[in-house]
Amino acid sequence: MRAGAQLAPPRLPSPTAISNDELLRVSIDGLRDSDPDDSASKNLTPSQRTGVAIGSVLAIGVFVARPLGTSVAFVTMAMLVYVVVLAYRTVLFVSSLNANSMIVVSDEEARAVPDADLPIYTVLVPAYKEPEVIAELTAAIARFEYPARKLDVKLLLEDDDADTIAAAVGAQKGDFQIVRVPVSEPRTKPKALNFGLQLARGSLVTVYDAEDHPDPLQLRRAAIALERGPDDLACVQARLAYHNVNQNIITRWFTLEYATWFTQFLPGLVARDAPVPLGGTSNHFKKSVLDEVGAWDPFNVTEDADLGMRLHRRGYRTGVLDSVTLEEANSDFINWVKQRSRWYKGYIQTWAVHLRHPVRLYRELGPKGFAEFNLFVGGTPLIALLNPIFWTLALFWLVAEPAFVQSIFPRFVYYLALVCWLVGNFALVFMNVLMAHQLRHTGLHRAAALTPLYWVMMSLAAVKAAVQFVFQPSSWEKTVHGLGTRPVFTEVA
Amino acid sequence: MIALLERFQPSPEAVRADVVLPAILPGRKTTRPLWFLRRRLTIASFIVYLSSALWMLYGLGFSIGDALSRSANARAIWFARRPTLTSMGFGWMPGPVLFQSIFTVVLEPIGQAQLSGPLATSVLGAATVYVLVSICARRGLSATWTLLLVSAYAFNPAIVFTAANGMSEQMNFFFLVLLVDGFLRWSDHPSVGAATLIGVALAGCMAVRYETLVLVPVVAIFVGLRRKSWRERLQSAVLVSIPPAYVFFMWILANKLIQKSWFWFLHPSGSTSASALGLPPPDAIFLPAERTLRTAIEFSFSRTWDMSWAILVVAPILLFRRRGQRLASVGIVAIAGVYPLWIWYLLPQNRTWGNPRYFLPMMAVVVVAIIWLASDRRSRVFGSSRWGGAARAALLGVMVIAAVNASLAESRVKVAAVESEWYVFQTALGQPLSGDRVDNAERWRRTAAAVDAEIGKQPKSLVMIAFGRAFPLFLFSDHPKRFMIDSDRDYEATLASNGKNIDYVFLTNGTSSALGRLVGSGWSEAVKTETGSLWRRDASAANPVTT
Repeated sequence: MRAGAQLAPPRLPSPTAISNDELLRVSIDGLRDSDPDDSASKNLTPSQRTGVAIGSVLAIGVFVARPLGTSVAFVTMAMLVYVVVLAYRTVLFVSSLNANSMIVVSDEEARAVPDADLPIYTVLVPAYKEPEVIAELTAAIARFEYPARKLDVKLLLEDDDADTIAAAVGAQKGDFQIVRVPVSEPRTKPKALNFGLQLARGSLVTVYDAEDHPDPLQLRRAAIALERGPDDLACVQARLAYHNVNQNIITRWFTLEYATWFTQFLPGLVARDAPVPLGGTSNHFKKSVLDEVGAWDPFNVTEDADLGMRLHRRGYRTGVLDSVTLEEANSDFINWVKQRSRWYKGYIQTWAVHLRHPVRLYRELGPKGFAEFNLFVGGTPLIALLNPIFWTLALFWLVAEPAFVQSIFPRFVYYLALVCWLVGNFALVFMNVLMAHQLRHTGLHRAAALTPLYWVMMSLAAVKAAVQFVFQPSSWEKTVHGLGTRPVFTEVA
Repeated sequence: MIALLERFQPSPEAVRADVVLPAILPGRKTTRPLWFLRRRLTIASFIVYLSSALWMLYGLGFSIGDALSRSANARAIWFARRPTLTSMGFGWMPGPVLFQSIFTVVLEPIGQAQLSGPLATSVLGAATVYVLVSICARRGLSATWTLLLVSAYAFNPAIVFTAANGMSEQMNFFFLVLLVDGFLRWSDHPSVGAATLIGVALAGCMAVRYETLVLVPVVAIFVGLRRKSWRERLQSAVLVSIPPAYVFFMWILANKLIQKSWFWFLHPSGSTSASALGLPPPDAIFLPAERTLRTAIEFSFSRTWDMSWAILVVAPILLFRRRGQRLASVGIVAIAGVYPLWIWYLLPQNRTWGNPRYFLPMMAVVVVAIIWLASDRRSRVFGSSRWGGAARAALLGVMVIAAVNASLAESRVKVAAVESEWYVFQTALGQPLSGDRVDNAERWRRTAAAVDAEIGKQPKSLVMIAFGRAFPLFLFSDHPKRFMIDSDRDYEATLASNGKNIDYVFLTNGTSSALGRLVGSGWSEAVKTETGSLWRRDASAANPVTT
């Protein structure tokens, strides 16, 4: 059903000048038409498919002919991947420790800017089948220390989501605008964002999930950072943290992971001027830049990470803003696996899309950026996929010491594996212990010590993601919200 | 909007304080002169260290037995008959051997495996210089003072010697510098970054030196004291102790797995590491004749005066610092104090040889402390425009005097007899040589040539050796794969089978010490005992091969 976008209540000049079909067409096909090579509408290009097919046939053929040699080659390559990714993660961690890589705008400075000088800020809030979080959205909007007349909040709802629309209409007091996105494929968040973006009237744009609880000064801080930063600073990503930290072991692990991601890895990427895969929400953009780069890819299920890459490729920079948005950590195992497998699938998609023209990518990013892109975007799902293989081999070895395990680990590879095992695992667990110490939540230290169990969950999700990448590349598995405890509004880090 | 925002900025200074865009705005990193200086000084120090190493090794034919042992361990890891990590024996902390094994891979094809240790220490020495300049840059010290203070440390002849000799000190210095830097950062602001640095540095120290067992609790206490509540104190202390505890656990686990004893390192004579922990003789000229706590304290003070004179001057300055800096200052003195304290503990038990190098780590601590003092803009003395320059010059003078003092001490036979450092220093200073030097390397080279000639006659012949004693033979031989060494899986079985499958047993007479004392015996005794039918005569290193 391609019904028109309904704007209720109409606070804006009606966008009737643009037809709804045209809005939808641009939302879906905008990027695909302007830059088909940047769109994930096709999973793999014909040349990529050919390459994968030839590579697979060759690998199988060589394995049949020389099983030991092929296994040794595979193990060697895998170990090199482990070592390089591990070293890179450590470098990122250290980079973020050594350099103050976050953009800091103090409360005083944020409030010092008169309301009249602030730009109109468009806040896009996509939601689907989440009537229970609408009340939280209105509360979050009310908490913003930003002049109401300069806030352009758009709640992006699917046209067939009657419950959420009803809840939104009921809660609406003129502080946000309901945008009904016509039902169409792909049913993804980025498509809704593109739809909303075309109706935006702000020069700055941000994205929140409906259940988010952003720092009330975040919009002011972001506005100052974007205006006062260099011209090529196109985006600032606020830190994400969770309000239901202590709900169960999964939320604790998730909290530690987010803390490492947003306080160490992303600032580390910024410090190294590397491409930054954006987080799902609380990223603040200059609208003009969003329009220029083609906004979000509606076919990519981690449209945020993909957009971060595209910004970097076009010569724009992303900063990490020292301002926290509290979210709800996934507390349910199945729900968590669905969400994480979507993220991994999105990373694989993003990796595949940007590697369609590796030489061009290399030229655009340079050797350092090219390597960092592959290590971070490619390395993240790849490690999670490799882990089960080597856990199984380790288990075999511990139980039965089969000769073939020893034979596929020649000396050099064995030493690398030992470094990964003894140093790498400890380093990653210790990073989580450090984050637990920093967050000062009770119970996190124990969760940090049990991190390897979380890696098992990650690997499950990665396997699911890899399968879905082949069979359902653009399918968006909705994360169920509202399973967590209500937030307590205190700074967590 | 930009114009309006700029209008509301109270002053450039205030904006810098409030809005921090460090990674995005250019010019916030180390200033160019210090980048430039860091690279140049690092390269210059590396050249000096490596040149010194080559001069000592090939010019003077000087090498310390323990350094040769580490090089042999590193070679065995890659090029032994059945190479494994266990070749290093784990009687010593494995850090230096693991690091230098990387260089062994490159040096083996050109037949210079014995250079792996000196090359590793040269690299680590230069890395230390790199870190020191970085600390100066972060603390805002000018390029001139950075150059002078870091050079006074880097080109201290005693430091150059440790950076060239292939021993473990330089790796310890590298991590000590990181540790003190992390500790001072923690004292400035107890952040996760500082805790990470402290933890990693302690782990590094633990991978290198036994003394770290004392260092960890000392550092943990001072780290904890920086926090307010007891809970935070405990958490912080535990946090920085986790990495070194992990390293220690892995190390004793290796002892257990390889040597069947968790604390094998306490009696490592059967390890593949050189048997260094033999008892020093009662008449050793370099130790007090009577070994009591009192003489141990006197001895420690004397050696500290010789090797790290600067700490004796800087410690009182640190202890009388202003209130906000006092905890950090006392902490630095405590960290430095661990090293003489270790000797106080061991000497009365007659369990240390009291080598002068044991007192040199204090120089690595003191150089960071001096940088900290010299860059303190809030200090009435160092921050004063009138006295600051003179005060920094005084600190530089302390470093220079310490360097001269250490060089003269190392040239005295009475101080530096254990490892014959005096020979290098007397030669370098142009002094007439005044002692009998230990020269294991040349003897062993000749031995290796003899053994190579013997086994060359029989292709695929196999020589059983006690690695802990005969490691130089393995190091200098052209046929490393022809030696059955202690870490080989079939070693014990071969012993038990009275030498089945081997062609030669290499025996040492167990009196290789320069001081005429037995320095352990380990597996070589087992070879004698258990392979009686193979052993024909108790051969010395000069005539070692028995069949």
